[in-house]
Amino acid sequence: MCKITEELQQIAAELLKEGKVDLVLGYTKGEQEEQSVPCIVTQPEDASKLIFDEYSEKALSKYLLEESFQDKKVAIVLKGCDQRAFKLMQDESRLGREDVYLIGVECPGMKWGEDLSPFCLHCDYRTPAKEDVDSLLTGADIPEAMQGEPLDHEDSFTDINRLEKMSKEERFEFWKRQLNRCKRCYTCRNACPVCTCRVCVFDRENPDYIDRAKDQMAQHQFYHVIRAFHVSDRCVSCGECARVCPEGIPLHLLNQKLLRELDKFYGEYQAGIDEVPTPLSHANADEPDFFGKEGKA
Amino acid sequence: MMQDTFEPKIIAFCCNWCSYAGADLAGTGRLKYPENIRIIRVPCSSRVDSALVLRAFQNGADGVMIAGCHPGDCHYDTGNYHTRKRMMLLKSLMEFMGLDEERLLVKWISGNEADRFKDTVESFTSKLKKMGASGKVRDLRCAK
Repeated sequence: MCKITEELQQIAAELLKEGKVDLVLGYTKGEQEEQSVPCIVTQPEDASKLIFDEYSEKALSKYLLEESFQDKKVAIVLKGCDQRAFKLMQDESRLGREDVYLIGVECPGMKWGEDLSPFCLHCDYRTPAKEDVDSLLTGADIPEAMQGEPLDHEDSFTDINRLEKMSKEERFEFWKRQLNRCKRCYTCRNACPVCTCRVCVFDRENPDYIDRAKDQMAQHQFYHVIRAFHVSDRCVSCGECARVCPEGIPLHLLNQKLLRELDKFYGEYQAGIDEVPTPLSHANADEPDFFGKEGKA
Repeated sequence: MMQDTFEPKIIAFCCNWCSYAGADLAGTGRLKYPENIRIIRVPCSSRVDSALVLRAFQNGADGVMIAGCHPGDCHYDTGNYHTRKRMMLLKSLMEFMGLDEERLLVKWISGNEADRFKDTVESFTSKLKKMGASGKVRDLRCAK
């Protein structure tokens, strides 16, 4: 058992015993060996169920918005990207910091099939900042690839660069091939830690922007453009959308494209690390004007 | 032959305070502009969500035009700054997905610029005529 898991179980048991929190939200071993699933622990003796390993990729912060947690004091296990999502929700007044006990953990890099997740290889915020959490657990077994400096940020856009070099028709065919596999199961939306609207535009029946029609390229396009747009400036680059997609559609490309455009024109911004407002929630006169240099006629 | 008879459908979202007044002035001044344009009055150009733009394309528009106040002239101070930010992103995302981003036009037209309104509609219509019908984002539910 690794050091973080041990300390985590200790802290969880203490918190529950002292009655500081009503429940602890963390990960436990799933049915398969290479799987960790979210779990809720309410009794100190159950704290030994908790673990944290390289399969604990699911973001937990979004659970805090669930109604059943509203009147409870919750302790939650957060790795770097997850803590960014939490901070964003906190800054947007969706959550109160004082209602939650944060257990920050050092992330060893999550698995992506056999390999390490490409998102983790590029991540420069694996461990939450000490002042942002109530207790911080470090000492994870960091794989060799994760040690040292994270990969260059520009590398993470390699796929985008490849796509951008294609002609427009080729790009259209590429996305047609990809998006036509979409079943619109909404897993990408549900797994995204920053996709947190109370009522999602896709759940509304009026206006009927999209329905459950399967072979409808236009509806797939609509869904994916709007989904990417709604999280664009708030994306924490965790890569969950692409990981959970049962059809393996590279959804993160859309998000990264928008992030890159925002960085290019409005300065670099990292959601959940930099101060709010996020780039798209404010606008002012100094920003570049793309639509009309000629001024008034 | 098709090229000659093709009449593009253009949905124009016009800001209530500037561009709609500009279109109105073009009307009272008896300026003739192509009838391909269908104007939808919006309280501010920033009211135009990316969903509305895509929805217009899905419903059969060949072009979408968003007309707002000149930067600095917004009735609500910052509305058109939001518009240009969002629409720049939407255009780059459309381009990235291989859609025809040039079918989306954003233009600043004030209340006394009837000529500019007319010129914009004319040039956009002739551009779309050259491009032909848009078929990449059609919602089959809306097909006649």
